Amino acid sequence: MASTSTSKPTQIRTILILLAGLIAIVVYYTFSPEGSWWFPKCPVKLLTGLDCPGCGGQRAFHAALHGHFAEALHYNLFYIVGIPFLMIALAGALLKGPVGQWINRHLLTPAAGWVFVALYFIWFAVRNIWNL
Amino acid sequence: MPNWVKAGQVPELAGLFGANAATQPIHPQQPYAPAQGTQGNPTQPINPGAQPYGQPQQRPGGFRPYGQPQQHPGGPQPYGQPQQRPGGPQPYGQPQQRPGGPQTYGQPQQYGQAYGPQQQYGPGQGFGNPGQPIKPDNYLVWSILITLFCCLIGGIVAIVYSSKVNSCWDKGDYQGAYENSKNAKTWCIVSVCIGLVTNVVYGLMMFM
Repeated sequence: MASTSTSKPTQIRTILILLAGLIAIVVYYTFSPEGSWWFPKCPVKLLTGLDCPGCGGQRAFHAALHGHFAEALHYNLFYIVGIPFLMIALAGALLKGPVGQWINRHLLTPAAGWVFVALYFIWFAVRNIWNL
Repeated sequence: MPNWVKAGQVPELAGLFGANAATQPIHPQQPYAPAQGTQGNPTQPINPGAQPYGQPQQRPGGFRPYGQPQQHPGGPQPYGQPQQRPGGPQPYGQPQQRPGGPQTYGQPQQYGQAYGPQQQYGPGQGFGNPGQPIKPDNYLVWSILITLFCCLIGGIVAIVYSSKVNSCWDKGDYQGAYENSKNAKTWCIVSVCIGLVTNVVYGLMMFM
């Protein structure tokens, strides 16, 4: 399983994903979600008025792309947890060797998922109570 | 295979079997042996084709079942039906029958039958099996992206399912891994659809 030959649809899919990521980076670098009306809005915010745990993420991404990391964290503090988790998940998905296997087996466990869920909802409550 | 006899009655194996039967760990199964007459086991020696399919039903019972080794502990079996049953010649079959039995013979069948029993066999079951299927995508990256960057709360459900895929797979619970993978994918798609619909409706309301 370590060395699976990538089939053609997989390659096309990978290229499309990378392309979409690149476009997203260019768009989020060029435009600020703050002033542009056409950025996607958070359904939770629209429906309930509450800030969801991911709210501020687009603004934070824009700020981070410009190197303003403190500002990014100001928009969404939860990225301290979210970005490392995303990176680990990405490593587990992309690395096929023993490192990837170790990550999948020891880091990306159901317990990790539940911890993330717990932190997510704690942050959901905290940011709405103290308006973070 | 008309010349089936109990191993204890085969002169060559009598000593082996007789001595072994006393020391077998499976010994407590012997009380079940009389019930085998109704389980269809006596037909196994003369009906080899049916046996591989019969075996999975016995497997959930695990090791309790039916005193198979006592039933036909060898006799002519080593020559006639080598792959029929790991426990053919009883002395050698015993260790295989527990973890190894399902592992080597049961692997393809696990997809066609009830999936619960696999979890009983613990980790490491599926490794090294040549017929191993491809590990399903766990969609964890997509789940996190959707949850964090797209503000979609349904993604959190996808994360829970995603995080179960690997551990199910490592436990040998392939069906569980595939189901969790499928659920994660479904939740990702549902979340994105909810987000799109909400935004389109919102956009329409803004312009009207």
